[in-house]
Amino acid sequence: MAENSPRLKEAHGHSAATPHHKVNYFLIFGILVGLTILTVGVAFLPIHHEWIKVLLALTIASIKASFVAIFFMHLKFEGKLIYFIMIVPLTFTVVLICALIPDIVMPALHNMMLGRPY
Amino acid sequence: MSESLLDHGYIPEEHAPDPVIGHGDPIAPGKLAIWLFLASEIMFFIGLLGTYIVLRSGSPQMFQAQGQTLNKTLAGINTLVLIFSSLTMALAVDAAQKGNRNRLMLMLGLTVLMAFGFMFIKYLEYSDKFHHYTLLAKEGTGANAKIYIYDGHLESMDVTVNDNLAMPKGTEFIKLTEAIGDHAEGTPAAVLDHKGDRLEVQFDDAKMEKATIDKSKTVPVEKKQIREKAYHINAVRRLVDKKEEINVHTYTLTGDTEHAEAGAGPHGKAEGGKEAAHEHQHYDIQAKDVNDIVWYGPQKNIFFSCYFALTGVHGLHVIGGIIPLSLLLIQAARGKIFAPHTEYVGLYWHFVDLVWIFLFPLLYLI
Repeated sequence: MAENSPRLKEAHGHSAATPHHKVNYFLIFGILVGLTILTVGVAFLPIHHEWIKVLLALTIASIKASFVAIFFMHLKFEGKLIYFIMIVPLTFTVVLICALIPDIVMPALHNMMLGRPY
Repeated sequence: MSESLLDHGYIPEEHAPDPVIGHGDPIAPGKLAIWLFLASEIMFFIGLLGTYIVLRSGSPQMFQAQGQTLNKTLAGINTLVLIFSSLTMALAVDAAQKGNRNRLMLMLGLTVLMAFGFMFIKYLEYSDKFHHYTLLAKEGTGANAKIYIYDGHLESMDVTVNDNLAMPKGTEFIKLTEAIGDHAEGTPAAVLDHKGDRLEVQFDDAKMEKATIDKSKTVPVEKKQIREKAYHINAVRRLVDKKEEINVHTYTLTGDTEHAEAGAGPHGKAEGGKEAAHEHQHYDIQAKDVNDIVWYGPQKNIFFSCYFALTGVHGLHVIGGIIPLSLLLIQAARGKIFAPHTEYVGLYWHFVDLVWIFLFPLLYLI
């Protein structure tokens, strides 16, 4: 392949245009390890209400995921287009979960009526 | 042909302006593609997670109880392994962009190593579950019946056991009971029910079809008790004869006085006194006394269906990441640095990590 072929140009030109992001990856790693320990610790707390446990676990997981996406995946340095690409499936995700709400609530109601734990 | 559209796969920027942004930093087509791929991956995983959410909301207690049978330690280590691999991946991308080949090789090597480590731990977890059974045996009838529960590993998975025990409940197990023909007196009416941290054994003289379970005959057994007091048969070693008897091993606790009673279990042969000193005690169980065998496989219940589906698909993604990572490592060893490709693979790899970040608490912790 020719040295100045467009593909190589693209490869070296664009992606290498903003290569040296100043991110302290070790710090992010430390934060992620800390949050992992936290989420394990929270799981052993005597919280009997399931929803609180779920909510706590998911909150910590979301924070961890945000750190991975923002720093490891360089979302912090990306343009609007990448954000747009990501917002679409995330919106669909919310829509999907909302569509599941009847399926989530009805069994709980059912159990409640039967006097079972829910 | 070398300069055609087919060859490039896109229209070079100097010929056609980017239709979407037009201004600002142009995005490499490869990067755009990998992000779109990740977007589709999000939808893929949310589909599976949606299934999990609906099933869990239908049986929250069962999911909670079943989740306890998973190995939190191994999963926790695996989480750290993946996070560490994400770190090395990010450093690999950085090294590639800076043209530091040695560092790139080191970091890619570490990432691949961590990926294999993750899969190895996953293998340990899976094989633990694939050898895990709950077995219920009964001696005697009615309220005087003794129930023996085994919740643990089969020691060997030889052909005989495989043929007879490691089968989906409801299909081959029915065949087994039919072969034994225990639908006569003392029909098994024992129900093993996971309720939080206790296993409840309910038994009744009545036939299962009538499903009359007398609550007064319910015997609550602490799970700990079952585990520690040799209450149960610890391992079905092999089926000596497919229809006659099952050879059973049981662990005895040193200094445990109760083991003798347990050791004289259903049709016990080797008894407590003589072999008490041995770590393993051996006795036989008649197959007709085995009322139920539940395998910890994907068909155990909807929790294990979810567990194997989610972790399995995630594991496939890890394997899918090992391949391009290895290719990049080989290329780096040959002296070639593919900085943008490393970045794209890195994005994918971080996404695999990200999925696990959600799977870990959802399956193992809550």
